[in-house]
Amino acid sequence: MNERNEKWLDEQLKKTIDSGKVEFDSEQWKQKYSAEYQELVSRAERRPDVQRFSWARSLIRAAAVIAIVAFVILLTHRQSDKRVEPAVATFVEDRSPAMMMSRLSLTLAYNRGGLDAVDEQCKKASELLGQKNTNVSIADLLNDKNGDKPERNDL
Amino acid sequence: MKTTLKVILIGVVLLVSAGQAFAYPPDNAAVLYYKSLMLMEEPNDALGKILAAVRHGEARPDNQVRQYVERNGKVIKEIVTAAEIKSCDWGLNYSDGLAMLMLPYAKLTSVAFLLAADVKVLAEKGDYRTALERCITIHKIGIHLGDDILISRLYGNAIGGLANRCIVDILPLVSNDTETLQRLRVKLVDISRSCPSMKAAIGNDAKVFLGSSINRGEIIEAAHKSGLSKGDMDKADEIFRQHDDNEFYVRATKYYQSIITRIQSVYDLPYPQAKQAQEDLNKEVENAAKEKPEVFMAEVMLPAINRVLTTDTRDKTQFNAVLVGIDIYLIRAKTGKLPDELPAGLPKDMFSGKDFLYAKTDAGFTLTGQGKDLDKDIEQKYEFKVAK
Repeated sequence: MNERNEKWLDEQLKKTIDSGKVEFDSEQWKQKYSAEYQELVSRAERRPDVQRFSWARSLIRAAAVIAIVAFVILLTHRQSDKRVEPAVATFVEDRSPAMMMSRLSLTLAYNRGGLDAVDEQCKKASELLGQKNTNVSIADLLNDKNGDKPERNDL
Repeated sequence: MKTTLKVILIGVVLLVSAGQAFAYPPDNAAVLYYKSLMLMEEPNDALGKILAAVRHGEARPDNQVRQYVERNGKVIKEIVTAAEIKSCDWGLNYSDGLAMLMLPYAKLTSVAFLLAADVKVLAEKGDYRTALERCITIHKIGIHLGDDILISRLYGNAIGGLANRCIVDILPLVSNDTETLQRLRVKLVDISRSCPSMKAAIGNDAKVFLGSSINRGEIIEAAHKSGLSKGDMDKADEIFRQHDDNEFYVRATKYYQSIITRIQSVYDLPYPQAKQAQEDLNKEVENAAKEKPEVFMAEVMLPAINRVLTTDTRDKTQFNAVLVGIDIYLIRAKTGKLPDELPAGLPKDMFSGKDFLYAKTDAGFTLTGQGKDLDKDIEQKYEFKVAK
């Protein structure tokens, strides 16, 4: 029993008995009512378990809420994917260096702007890999002997 | 007795396999090329500009250029070794179709530029024979790019063009050396014979493309990423919405295949007729596209493939001009003077199918094609200098 409770008990006794100054001997009381005391103590000791249990229950509740929210988001996302998916896939620019160096990607670069565009794409890919490139382009490689600088998209 | 035989047999197997395990060079040139691409030092921007000026003959190799070439000496050695290996398998996974990872072309261009710088440094030192050997090495890199993929072949031809320009720069310096000129000519004829054809590259490229493009998603992706105009994009969207079945894509790829076969046959014609046939084919496809939606893919791909004809003709014409130039240098080396007219039976201008027009100039001589690059409406003129 803590000090506050002892004080409160003194107060109550004073009010009830009103026999002047009353001294409450807690040690004596514990000995006298040892079974009750043990019961009280054991209840007090069980309380943290009860708290821990309710905390775990809260956790489970929170996890369930998160799971539901995540599921809803996922579902919404999937539904929105389905909604925006047209008959034709939407264009997503290639970002990965490997994807930029794919046959499809380079063929399309060639279709767009000849070897210049292919060269540019190769350089971008190696830059993404942290490699250094020269400032010399394929145009230099295609430079005619007769001095005509090839135009862009020459190839 | 049996045990002794077994021991001897195991010993022989180990000896043979150990020899194969440590064999150098490897039997695949690509291994050494990839190694060189990883180890090659790329020049910084300032040095890159100097190297370009040296390559164009606007500047002579200075200390920076010499040191750069020296620092890459081991890489150059590996490249020279690689170029001499017959087989070159770049490890491309064709079964990946359109997702197949391609070669680092920009890096290969850098390798060619490194060798071109070496050519200039060697020539500056007076080692013309090794300089010309380097030019042959550049040519061989171009050949090693093969004819399986159109882009690889285009790079291969472009690298070959660089080799030819380097040769033309060295020729005046060896113009009196008959033996070197003859040796060079033999090697160049050999190169021209083993150079993969653009016609084959177009066919092989389409084969790989079509082999994989039955996949509807890939065709759609290709159409969307090919930089189509707004109008074409809308048209593509409409076509793909209306024809959402696999049969449509099979029809589209079949039509594309038939067009590719006809494009290839164009390469058997002389250039002016080939250009005409190409234009006729373009119109035919354009008209067919109005009625048959499956023509769309061919319509989209055709302009890029059409550009290749003129490029290929220009590369071949340049190669022939170099061969003719060497013949003229040889005549001069033997007789002491430039011929007054072009001897008969020399390689021709591929734009016209006729002989080059030969003219002596103060600096040496020129070879001019009788035909024109019809894409740009320009004539092909090649200048050759003669050492005074």
